[in-house]
Amino acid sequence: MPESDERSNGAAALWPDQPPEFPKLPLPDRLLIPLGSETGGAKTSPGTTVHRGQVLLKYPSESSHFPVAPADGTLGEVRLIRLTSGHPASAVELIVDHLAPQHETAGFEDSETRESGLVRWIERLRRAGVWASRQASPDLIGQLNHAVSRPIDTVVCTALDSDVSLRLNGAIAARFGDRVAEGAALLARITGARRRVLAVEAEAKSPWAAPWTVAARAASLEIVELSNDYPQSDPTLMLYSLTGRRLRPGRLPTTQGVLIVDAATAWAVGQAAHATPMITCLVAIHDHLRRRSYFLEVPLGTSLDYVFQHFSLQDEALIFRGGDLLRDQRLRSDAVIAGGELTIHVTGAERVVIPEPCIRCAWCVEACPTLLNPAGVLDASQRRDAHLAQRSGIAACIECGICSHVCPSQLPLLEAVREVRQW
Amino acid sequence: MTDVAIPRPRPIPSPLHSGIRIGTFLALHILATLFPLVAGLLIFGWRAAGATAVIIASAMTAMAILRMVGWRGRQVRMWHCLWLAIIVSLMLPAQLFSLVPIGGAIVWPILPAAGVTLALLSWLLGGLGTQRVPPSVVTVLLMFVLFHELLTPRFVLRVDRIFAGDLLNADPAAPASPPRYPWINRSMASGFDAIRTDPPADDLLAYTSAQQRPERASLSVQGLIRDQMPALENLIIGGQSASIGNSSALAIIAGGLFLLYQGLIDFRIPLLGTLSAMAGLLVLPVPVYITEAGAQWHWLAFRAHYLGWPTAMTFVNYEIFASPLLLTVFYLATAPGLRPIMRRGRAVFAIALGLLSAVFQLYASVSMGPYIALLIVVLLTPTLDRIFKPRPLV
Repeated sequence: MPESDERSNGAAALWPDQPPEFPKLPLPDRLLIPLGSETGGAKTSPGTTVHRGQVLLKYPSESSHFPVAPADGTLGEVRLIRLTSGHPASAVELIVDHLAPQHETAGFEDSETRESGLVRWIERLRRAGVWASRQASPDLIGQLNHAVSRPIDTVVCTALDSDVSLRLNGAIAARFGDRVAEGAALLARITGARRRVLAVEAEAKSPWAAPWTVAARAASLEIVELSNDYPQSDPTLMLYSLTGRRLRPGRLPTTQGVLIVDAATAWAVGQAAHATPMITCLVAIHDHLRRRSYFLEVPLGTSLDYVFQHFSLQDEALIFRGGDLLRDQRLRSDAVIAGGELTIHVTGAERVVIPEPCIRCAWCVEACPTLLNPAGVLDASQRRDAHLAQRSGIAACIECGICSHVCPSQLPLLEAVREVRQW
Repeated sequence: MTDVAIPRPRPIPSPLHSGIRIGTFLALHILATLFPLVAGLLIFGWRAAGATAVIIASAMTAMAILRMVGWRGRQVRMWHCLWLAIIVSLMLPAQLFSLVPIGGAIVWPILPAAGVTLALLSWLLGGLGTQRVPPSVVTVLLMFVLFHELLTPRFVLRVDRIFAGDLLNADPAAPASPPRYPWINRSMASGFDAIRTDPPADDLLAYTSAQQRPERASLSVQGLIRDQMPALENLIIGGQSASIGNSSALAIIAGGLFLLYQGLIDFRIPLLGTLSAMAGLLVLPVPVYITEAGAQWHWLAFRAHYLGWPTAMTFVNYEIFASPLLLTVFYLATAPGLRPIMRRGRAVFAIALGLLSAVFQLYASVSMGPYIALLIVVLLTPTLDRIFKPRPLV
C-alpha cells in the first residue's frame, strides 16, 4: 500500500518527491450505500440483486443524488449510518458478490449524454451518483440546483489541502489532472461561468505542479497560486481570497455567484462526463502514531472499519477524525466513506484536557481567520448570552478550530461555538 | 513460554493543540525579562543579583503560603508570581541590597517587603487573566510613596568592575555630577568599584517642573542637556544610575523584540506608546528658559527660533530613556490582563498611555510617571473592550 513517510520534518517530507498513487482497496463483503435525503421509489427491497453502476432509487429527492451500486451484489436492510463528515444518513446494505465479474467499465443509466443544458447535466450527474458535501466542497447538487436560478460567474476548483501531512486534493490534481480539469471546466460550461479557477498551493513542488498546470491550460482554467495557510481551503476564505466576496459560513457559495468544488469532486464530475459513475472515492488516511499517510481508492460505501483492518489500525483506544484535524470531527470506526470527508486522521489515546482559566492573551483573536472573538463566544456560552455571542461575531465562525489550537489555557473554544449554535 | 503483556501506549497530548500552554507562555515572558535583568546584573553587580534574589524568594514564599488560602489562592500560579517578582526587581534599585545603612536608614527590609506586598496583591487581584490592575506597579508605587528617597538610585559600577564590583564602594568625596564621557569609555581612578552619580530623572524633573533655580543668569533646555545630563549613550547602552531593569535601553528593547518575535505581545503597544509619549513631550509646554524671575514655557514642537529640532529631539530622547517608559510599554502594559483584547482598543490604550506618561514625566515624576500613567490607563481597558467590538470577515 503506498504511503508517505514523514519521519523527517521538512519540506521533503511535506512534499514527497512524487505525488502518491491511489491503489484500489479490495471490495469488502458488505457496503453501505447512502441513499440521499429520501428513500422512496424502492429498488431497495432486501434480497434484490443489483449490478455495478445500477441506480438503486427511482425517485430520489431533487436535492439528492441517485445512489449507485458500486459492485454486483444483493441488497440488504436500510440502516441509519454516519458519514465521515459526521452527518447521519440512511443507507442500504449491499452484500457484495465476489464471484460476479466486476466490470471495469460501468454501465450507468445515461440516456442523455448529448444534452448540455444545466438542468439536464444536473440530472446526469445525479444519475451518475455524483455528490459531495464536505467542508472544502459544499453540497454539489445543492450548488448546481441553486445555479439554475442564480447566475454563476466563477467556478473554483481547489487543490489546496488543509493538512500538510495529507495532501489529498493536491495528489488528486497531480495524478488525475486531466479529469479534474475536465470536471471543473464542465461545471463552468454548464453554469455559464466566465471565470474558471484552479486554486493550487504556491509552494507545490514541480512533480506535483507540472501535471495540473498542463491539464489546467488544456481546459482553459486559470491557475491561481495561494499560500496554503490553514484554513485557506475553507469556502469562506477561498471566496474572499479569490473574489473579495464575503460568504457567510453554512451558506452555499452560489449565493455569492461562485461554485466551489475540491479536486476530488471535480474528479468525480470529470469521471461522470466519461460515463463513469461515482462508485469509488479517493481517500487519504494519516496515522499520527506511525506518522504515515495512506492514499487509496475505496469503493463507495466502505466502512472505516474495513479500511483500518487493512492497515492494522484497530485498537479501541484509537481516535478517528474526519476532515481537517483541527475541526475535531470525531468519527466512530463504523463511519461510511462516500461524499463526506475524504481525509481521516488516526491518533492514539489522548490525555484528558483540564482547561485553565482564560488569561486574556487574545491569541484566539489574533489567530482567527474570520476576525471574531472566540473568547467572547466562550464567555457567552457560559453565561448563556446569545447577544454577547452575536457581538463576538459568532456568525462568521467557520469552526476551523485554530482558536482552540492556539489557546494556552486549552479552553474549549470550538465546542463553545458549536454549543451556542445549537441554541 | 511466558506471556508478555504488550504495554499500551501512554496517552499523548492532543494533536489538536499547539503545545504552548500557560507554563510556556509565562516561561517565555520570564525569558524576555532576563535581557534587562542581565544588563542590570552587569552594571550594578552582585548587589543587583542579591536584591533580585531576595524579592523573588520573599514573593515566592509568601505566595506559597497564600496559595493555600481560599479560592483566590488556587487561581494564582507560582510561575506567574516569579514573573511578577522579576518585574518588581527590575523596577527597584540594586543599592537596597545592603546591610549597611544608606543615608542613615536601613534599606534591606524594603526588598522582602516588596516581595510580600507583591504576593499579597497578586492574591487579592487574582490570577493571570483576572488582574486588571498590575500588582507589580502598585507594589513599586507603594514602596516609592513610603521610601521615596531611599529608592533613588545613586550608584553605577565602573566599567572595569562590572558584575564583580561592589556597588556601594564609591568615593564618598567625589561629586555626584553627571559623567561627561560615556560610561563605557571612561578611564577611572583606581580604588573604588563604583561611581556615585545622580540619576538624570531627578534633574529632568527639576527642570521641567520649573523648580530648578539657575546657577547663572538663566538656564535653558540646551544648558540642561549640555551641563546636567549624562552622555546619552549611558542611557541607551548602559551606565546610568537607574533601577536594575532600566540600566540599558538596548537590553529592554532586545527583550521586547524577543517577546514580539515569539508573538507574545502586540507591537502596537510599545510602538504607539513610545511614539505618543514622544509626541506628548514635544507638544506639552516645558520651560525653555528659567531665570530668577521665573520660567518661560513653550512647546518644543512649535519651537521658538532659538530652539531647534536637534535640541527638542535630544530633550525628548533624554526623557524617554531616563524614565522607565520602555520597560512599561514592553513588559508591563503588554501583560494579558491589562491591555484590551481588540487591536483598535490596544492602539487607543497605547496612545493614552504614552500621552499620560508624557504628562506625568514632565510635571510629576520622571522615574514613576509611566507607572502612574499605566495605573490610570488600565482602568480604561474594560471600557475599551466594550467599545471596540470585533469586525468579522462576514
